[in-house]
Amino acid sequence: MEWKFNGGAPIYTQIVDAVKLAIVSGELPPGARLQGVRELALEAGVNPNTMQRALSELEREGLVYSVRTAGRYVTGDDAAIQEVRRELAGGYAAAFLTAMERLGMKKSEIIKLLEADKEE
Amino acid sequence: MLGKLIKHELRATSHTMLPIIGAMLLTAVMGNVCVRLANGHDLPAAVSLIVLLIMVLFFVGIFAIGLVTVYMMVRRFRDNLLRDEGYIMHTLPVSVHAQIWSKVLVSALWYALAAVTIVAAVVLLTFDAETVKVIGDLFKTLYDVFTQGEGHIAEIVVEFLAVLVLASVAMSLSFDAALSVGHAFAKHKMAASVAVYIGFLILGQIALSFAARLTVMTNFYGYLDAPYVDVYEFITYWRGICGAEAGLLVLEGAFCYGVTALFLKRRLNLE
Amino acid sequence: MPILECKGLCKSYGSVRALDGVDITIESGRIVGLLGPNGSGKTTLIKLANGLLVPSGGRILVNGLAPGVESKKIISYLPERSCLPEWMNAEQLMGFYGDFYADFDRSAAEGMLARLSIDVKTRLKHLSKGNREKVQLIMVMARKAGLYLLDEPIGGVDPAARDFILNTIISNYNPTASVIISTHLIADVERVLDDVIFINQGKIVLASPADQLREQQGKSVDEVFREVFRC
Repeated sequence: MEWKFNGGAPIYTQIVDAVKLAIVSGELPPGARLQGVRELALEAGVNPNTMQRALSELEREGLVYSVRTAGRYVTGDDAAIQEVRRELAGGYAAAFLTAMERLGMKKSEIIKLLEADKEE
Repeated sequence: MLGKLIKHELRATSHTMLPIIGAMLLTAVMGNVCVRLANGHDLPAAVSLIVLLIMVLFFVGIFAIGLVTVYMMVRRFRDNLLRDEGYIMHTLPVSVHAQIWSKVLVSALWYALAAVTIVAAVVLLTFDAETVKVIGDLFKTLYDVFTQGEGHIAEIVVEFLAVLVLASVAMSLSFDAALSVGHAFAKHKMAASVAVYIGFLILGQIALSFAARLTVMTNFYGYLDAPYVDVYEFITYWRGICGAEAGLLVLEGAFCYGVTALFLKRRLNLE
Repeated sequence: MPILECKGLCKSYGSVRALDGVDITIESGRIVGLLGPNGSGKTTLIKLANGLLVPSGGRILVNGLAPGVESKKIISYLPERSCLPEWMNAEQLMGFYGDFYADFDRSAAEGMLARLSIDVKTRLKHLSKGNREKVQLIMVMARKAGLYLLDEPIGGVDPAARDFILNTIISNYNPTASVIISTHLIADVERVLDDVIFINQGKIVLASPADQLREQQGKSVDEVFREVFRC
């Protein structure tokens, strides 16, 4: 996983997003075991408390589950993963559209642009 | 924790003091060889120049080693407790009292070793079959005096040595106190320390002039003018002097100790 | 009981007020950034916690104790300047720290020195300045202390050394210990902080959990800091 943090959002939400992306993209396949909090914190260069908070949030959302003593695993629930994929895609799409609007692009122009991009 | 501080202090000081003592003894041995060479031989000019140099070095060394030891101990106290290393030393879980005692006791040890070195160096310089005999005789006489002598000779010698030890402790403490006060200032810490030390000297003189009027010293000075010498009377006065001096040194030491402890505890001002 | 508590803490040097009525409570298990420009009172606060200075007013308690021999047992302090005796080597230093601190973990120190390939037999005098600073940090972090006080640990070090320092702090983290990092270089440390305390001219201007500050302001701690301390 690549860890890059920026601007105003809390670090823990940025970690949550990064892990979600890894799950959806298959980098962390269903059932994969996550490293321990300390290792992940070290890898990301963040405070272990922050990493703990992010993992708890992922557990709360049902993307990760913990087995007492054995560690944390990515959920095997495909529906949940698809749900996150849609959520992330929606987020990126919204950001994309906002940027396009700022450029003054009309919806039809955007669609044309996307189709041209696909053909390349 | 005092034991650990002393252990560390010994290690830190021996790494400067042992080479000094070693150099002094080595010079004495070389001096001994030179004396033998020079004795009744005609030496080439170059060699006699070297012999002369070594002898000069020896005598300078004999006079300087005491001063150098004092300088090393003063510098050690300043560098270890009042400069950068103070950040480490004053955050150790030890009391200020243990800090001061470790410095004072180890300083006293090195002063004693410096004194022993001077004696040893003189012995080494003059060492030959005859001096062995002379020294042997000296020890035998001393032993006889100690075991059979009248007039408490052994006690007197021990008392005198105790006063010397007290004097070295009081001297260390007076330097430590002056440095601790001087380094509480924001700037010109060394100049301030020297000024404080001079202040202590003046204070000491004033105190002493009062003490001298009160004690046996007046008797002693009166005795010096006396037209005849009575050994037993002299011994009595001498012991009185030693006792008075010991008392003064304890007072001086206690005063300086209190000042040092107060300033290290409450007025530390590390850069 | 909070690991560090200040109530109305004041420190004056002559007529200069270095700290002016500081109230802080720091609980166990937190990594706290003490953030402020140079001369804001950060070092004074840390020296007071260490007992290197005596307060002019108010009080400071470490684990419920006024600074003294007992509080020094649980504090591990990295001073702003490098101040180890230069005639010693790392091996002797480990002996020294082990003698005086019951919580010094020699094997941890040896591990860190080995990872940086610092020879334990080389006198500090002959090590590079960067390695000397790392040796000092290793001695500080190899203790299992209750409170780590790191005064400007990343001022003037290269990026590799900075990463080593931050990684050491993270990997030595334990839930019963707190770490206070004083610095004016916020961008470098903000990822590791639980809480931030902004200090300026001897007064606390802001104290908040780092993520809460980012969320409320929609900015990084570094950006907030630049706004608060804009010249």
